[in-house]
Amino acid sequence: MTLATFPDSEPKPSWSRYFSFNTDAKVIGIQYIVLAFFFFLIGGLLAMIIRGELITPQSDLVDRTVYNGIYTMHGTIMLFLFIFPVLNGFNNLLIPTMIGAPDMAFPRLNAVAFWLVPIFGSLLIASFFVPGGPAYSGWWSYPPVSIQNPLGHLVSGQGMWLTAVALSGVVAHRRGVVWCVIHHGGGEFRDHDHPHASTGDDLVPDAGLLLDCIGGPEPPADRSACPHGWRDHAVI
Amino acid sequence: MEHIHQDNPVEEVGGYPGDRLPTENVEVIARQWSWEFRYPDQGVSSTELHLQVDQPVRFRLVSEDVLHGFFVPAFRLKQDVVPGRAINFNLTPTREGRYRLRDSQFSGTWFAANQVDVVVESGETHAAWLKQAAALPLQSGISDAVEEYSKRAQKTNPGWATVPPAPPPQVNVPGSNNLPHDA
Repeated sequence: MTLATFPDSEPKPSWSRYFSFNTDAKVIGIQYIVLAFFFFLIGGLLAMIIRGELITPQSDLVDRTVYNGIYTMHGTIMLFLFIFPVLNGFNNLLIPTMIGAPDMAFPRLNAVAFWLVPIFGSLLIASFFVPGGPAYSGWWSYPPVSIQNPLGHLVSGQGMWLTAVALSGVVAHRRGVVWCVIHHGGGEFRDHDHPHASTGDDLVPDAGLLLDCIGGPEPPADRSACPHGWRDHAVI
Repeated sequence: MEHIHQDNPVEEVGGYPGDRLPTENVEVIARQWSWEFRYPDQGVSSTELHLQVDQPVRFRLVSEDVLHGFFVPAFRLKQDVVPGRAINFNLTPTREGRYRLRDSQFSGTWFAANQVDVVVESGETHAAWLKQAAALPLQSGISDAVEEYSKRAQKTNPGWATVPPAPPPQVNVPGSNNLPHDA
């Protein structure tokens, strides 16, 4: 009689995968959340300077230009480098599990989208150190005040701000694609034993809105309208 | 029907004040960072807005550089001032007093300091003010930004780059930015 043998359990993956180009949605989720909290600390530090200035009505802690720059960068960091990445993180951690899929729709696209965040984050923080200081026209950056370039340099804080926010738009677009495809095409991975379990489908309008905002394709209105090719590609 | 005698019944002057057509025109010029008010009918200019109580006024709002906001919190009224177009804006002040006009659309470095007073006064006082103002020579109006900008140049570490403020408008009446105001 021979005893059944079991394969050796796989070695525990190294912690260094969190610092690498990893396509596992759960790793990407942690990467997003940890990076988002790093930028949250920077944004929070700027908020403390803003509040320090506002202790008294007079402009007496920092110069007006510095206040406006810090205010702008605080808003930008908190939106584009904290809220959006931390939501991406939770979505990567939760959506595949909630809909019963092994991973997000395009794991490599998902990883590329994540690694753009430290790139545009560094670009945005670097704008503190260019001559003239960072963008100062608020996180909304209305022209004409946002196109006033006091020093006239080609590389200005506002220009770097614009580039960083455009890159963050690329992240949002890729994230939208990954969400829409897994929601519409990833159905094969659904948990058919529990068809009424939460599917996370409530996130689809959000992803559709993201694509809409930046001129991307509309997601299909319902799953039957989904091009079949998307479904085939969902397992790449 | 009850008949009530009033000193100055609204019927005599034509309905509620806000229902009448404006008789006073004021051109408001917003700049980085000052407010200039021109009374074209009287040939008067000022950096303090004077209005007659219960008298509708028609503003013509223009900006020479960026977006500004014409905002008098005490009036609960606010209107964006958009460069490249003239915006008509009517209002009727109903209470005498000294109020504050603030810029309500972010306009750059001295956005927060871009404030002047709005004086709502009786008809007699207003007419006297206009008459007196027309006789005054032009002088530099209020611009806190210009004052701060000149001090800033003397600092060793003046902060980050800024658009230089426009020179103070040349007006008949500069007015004051230091008097206590009601709201």
